[in-house]
Amino acid sequence: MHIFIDNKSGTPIYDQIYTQIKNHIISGTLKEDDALPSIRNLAKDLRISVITTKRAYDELEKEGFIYTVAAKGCFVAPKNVELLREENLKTIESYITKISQLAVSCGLNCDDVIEMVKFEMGDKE
Amino acid sequence: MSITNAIEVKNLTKSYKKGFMLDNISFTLPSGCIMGLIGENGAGKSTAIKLMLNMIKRNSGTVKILGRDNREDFELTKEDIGVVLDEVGISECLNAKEVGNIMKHTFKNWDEKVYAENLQKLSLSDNKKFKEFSKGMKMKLGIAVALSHNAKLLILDEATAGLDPVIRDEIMDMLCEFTREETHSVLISSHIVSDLEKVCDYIAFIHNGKMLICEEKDRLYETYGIVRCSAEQLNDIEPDAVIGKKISPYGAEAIVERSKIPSDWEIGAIDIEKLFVFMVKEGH
Amino acid sequence: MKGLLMKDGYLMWKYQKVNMIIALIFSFISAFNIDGSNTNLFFIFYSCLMISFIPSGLYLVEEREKSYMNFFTLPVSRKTYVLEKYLLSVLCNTAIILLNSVILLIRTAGQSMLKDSLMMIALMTVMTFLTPAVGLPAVMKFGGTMGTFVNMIVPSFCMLLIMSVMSFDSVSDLVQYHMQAIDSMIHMDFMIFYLLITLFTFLLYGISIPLSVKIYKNKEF
Repeated sequence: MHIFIDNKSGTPIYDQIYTQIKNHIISGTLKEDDALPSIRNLAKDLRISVITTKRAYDELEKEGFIYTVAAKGCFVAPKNVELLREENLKTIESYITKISQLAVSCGLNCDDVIEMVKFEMGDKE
Repeated sequence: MSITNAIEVKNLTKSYKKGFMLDNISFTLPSGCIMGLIGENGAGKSTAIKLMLNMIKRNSGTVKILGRDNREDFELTKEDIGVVLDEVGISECLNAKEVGNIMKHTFKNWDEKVYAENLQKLSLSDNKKFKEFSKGMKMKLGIAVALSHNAKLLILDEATAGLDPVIRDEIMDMLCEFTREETHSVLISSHIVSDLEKVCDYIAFIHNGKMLICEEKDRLYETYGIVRCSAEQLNDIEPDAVIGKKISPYGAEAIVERSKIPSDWEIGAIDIEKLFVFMVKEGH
Repeated sequence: MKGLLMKDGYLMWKYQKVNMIIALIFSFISAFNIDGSNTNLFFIFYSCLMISFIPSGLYLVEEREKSYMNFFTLPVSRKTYVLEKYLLSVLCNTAIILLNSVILLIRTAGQSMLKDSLMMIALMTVMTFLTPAVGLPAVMKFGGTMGTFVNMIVPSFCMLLIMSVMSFDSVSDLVQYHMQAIDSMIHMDFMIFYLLITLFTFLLYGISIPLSVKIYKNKEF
């Protein structure tokens, strides 16, 4: 499993870890019931704070991507189709927010944007 | 019985006739964490550490190290602490091997094998006299000793000052490895912030004997941010959101509290060094 | 304490080697002069003095090179640190007094000078133990220059005494003078007198220990 930390980017480090592990799980690099590195070992290997990795793991557990077994560690939770769909919906929403902002800055209105989406999705069909 | 806090300092004060060296300092280092104590020269970092080691007398306050008050049987507690002061203080005529022999008969849990490994890791030769060691090598020997008696807590006072970046990186690596074990903790004081920024879990700022901040490093990144704009735009922000600012003919840069800034402003990530400098300059 | 003794052992070897060698040479010089002249006394007393200096000398070395800082990182109490210096002092003093006594007794064997030899041994003991009894608290309290100065007072006084001793033509003259002086001043058998002052020295030595501990406990670094 690869994890890359960018100290200079604006994103908080725990968020970077959370996102990358989540993507590994969604994409299948990490399979169901695979063991994740311990919070401490991950922190030390990445040379970051233990509190940061704990936060990332807490988020992942809260969102249902991983589960903890007492005294054994954290493991990848079974893939939840609903969860994945929700994730993708969230991503689409965030893109829509960005598109809206850009549209406004270009002077496009809502209908213009819908036209562009229809064009794109029409092609796919 | 597990110890939850490696160090607990409450209301520690040391004053001299001319004024306070340390004014009511309190902080806690939870077990398993690394805390960076940052402050300019003379801010009180070394005074705090000396008070913790009973090298000087306090005016008031309590210090608990590894769960025990440091005024009770402190020699027993010191078996579990590895200390490196900026004046390493090993006798000049000794060499690394002799130091090892002395320590073997001083510490109950001295581990010769680990000491030999540490000397090798830090490329310190057995036979060179301490007098002939460079500052960096003296520091490395101090650290080798501190890591060779199964200590649970490391206290380093300015242990990386005067060292080149490669050695500093090596030492930070060793500290990181040391705290892989969750019963191990580290308190390191320095005025070189960049060393501490990466590996620390907690950051504390001391300035003029006062504790400005003692916080999880991540929370600092979340609480504070940098805005870059024109001087006029800066005036639009409420003054108590601004921790410190720098104004040049081409614009202004300010460190702000993110929660007090309107959401449409673009706020960049801070670095700890800048936060400290701005805080000190603004007299906060 | 074992580690501290070891450390002082190394320090002695590295910093006090010259002193120790000179002391031993002086001891042996005094062994070979058989005419009973009192210059031998000078060598034997001086050799004792040189050894008696060692613990306070080591303390001053540690202060100068700041190696006492390392002590605070070790699991050793301040009391132990002080006691170790006194233990070192007892060991060194006993060794040199024994050596010099044996040399003295051998040299004067068969000359029916036992009483005189015992008197000398008592004097050596007093001098050797009085020096650190005053010197150790002095260097701990005053450190550096002032401490060195105070550390020298007792030995200097002793040296003056020794010099005055040399103004006698022979040891027997000296002893005669001594016996008369003590008899006229105190009306006491001079053997008992010397026993008393030796015991008194040990008493002072015993008082010096808690004094040093107290001084060291209150020291700020």
